[in-house]
Amino acid sequence: MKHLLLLFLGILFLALQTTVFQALPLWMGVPDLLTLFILFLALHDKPLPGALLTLFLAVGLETFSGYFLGLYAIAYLMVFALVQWLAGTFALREMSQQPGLAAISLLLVNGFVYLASMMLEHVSSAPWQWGAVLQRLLIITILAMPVNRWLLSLTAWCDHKKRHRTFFQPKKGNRYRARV
Amino acid sequence: MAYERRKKQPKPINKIALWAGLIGFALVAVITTVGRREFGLSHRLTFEALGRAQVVLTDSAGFVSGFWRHYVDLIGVAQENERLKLEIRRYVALNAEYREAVATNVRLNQLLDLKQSLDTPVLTAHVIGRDPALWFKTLTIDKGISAGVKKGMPVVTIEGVVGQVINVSPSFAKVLLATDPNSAIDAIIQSNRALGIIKGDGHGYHLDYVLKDNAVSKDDLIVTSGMGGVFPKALPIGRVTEIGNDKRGMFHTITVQPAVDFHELEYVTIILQASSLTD
Repeated sequence: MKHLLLLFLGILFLALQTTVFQALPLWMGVPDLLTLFILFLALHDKPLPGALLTLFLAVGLETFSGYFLGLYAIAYLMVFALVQWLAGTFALREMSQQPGLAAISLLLVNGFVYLASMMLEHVSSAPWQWGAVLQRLLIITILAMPVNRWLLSLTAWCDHKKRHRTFFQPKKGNRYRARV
Repeated sequence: MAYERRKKQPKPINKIALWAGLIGFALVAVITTVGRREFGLSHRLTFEALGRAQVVLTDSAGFVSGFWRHYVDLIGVAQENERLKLEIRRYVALNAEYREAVATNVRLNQLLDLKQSLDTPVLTAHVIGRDPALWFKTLTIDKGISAGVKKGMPVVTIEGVVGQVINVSPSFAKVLLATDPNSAIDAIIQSNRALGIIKGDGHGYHLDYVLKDNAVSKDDLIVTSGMGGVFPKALPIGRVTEIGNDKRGMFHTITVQPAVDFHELEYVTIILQASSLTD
């Protein structure tokens, strides 16, 4: 159930990023929710289901973005694996660490995709735009903590429901009775 | 009896093996596509599935913004109404002049034999998604193979050239915008018929390979030359905004402002012609 919810959220974030957020004025920038989501998966999900979900979302992103296939899949899997490995060694799950981690993840993904597409393109490539990159870094660092907190509380709620087996079950008995 | 019951119980599936198998399969599927531009089955399926999510979100956003425009934004509508009434009186007078101009235009159009260019079937598509990356300029439209869209078909609006279809799935297609650095279109300067190639730079265009012998001035209109075989002739591309004054080299350095506002695109027209897209 938790992974179904995460899959739904991932698709929602991806769709938001490629539709509604693109209609925002240019000066507002586009929040990279997918990177935040994958960072959350890397920090709080099990390695295999998390990697599979990351792979699915990355493949989804590359169907909408760019023309070379496989780049986002590799970039996001790299970030996922790196953060998982680092989280096992250092205390990266702290809320205060999230903005820095998000910024590094965004830089890694963008840097990798830019370099790889530059190598694959034989004709020309867009110049690296520091202004736009810094704008996205600023947005992602601002959003990192609230998004992480929201995802944490959502998964905690999901775990609670699962533990008490209350998904899709009608409530029984006197629900107003004070619990002992 | 108890022994028999235990024996009949199915073996529990090893979860780790299952996940590892799944991820291994997915990894192989992804790695085999690295660097390719053609959609395989997995990408087509994902494109189809996620395209639906984009349609839902785009439609919802359109509904909300429409609601805002029609109901909430009515403040000040009375003042605007008065102003518009005054404007209408002015436009009625202008309209008479324009009617005459339109009649002349219709006659001239008949003379110019535009019939051939109108023979090409076209298809209107809704823009449902945009490329979130900084380095690529593509968009997703809600028409695909089932509507007759094929790879390489030109995409335009009434303002001018938009781009070319690069990937298709049964219901959706991805369009490479003309502003993308990977895009190149054969073009011609309308005033002096000088040939060149329009290349995207991420935001606008550069007109390359125009010899310095040709006089180019600001605001010159750039149109498609029709030579590449992809775009029909004489579609507007943009206007010259800057001409470099570098003394070296054989060619002009020309910056071109696109005729189309790519940020505001909602609907596009696909020209359904059989064409080839060279990779």
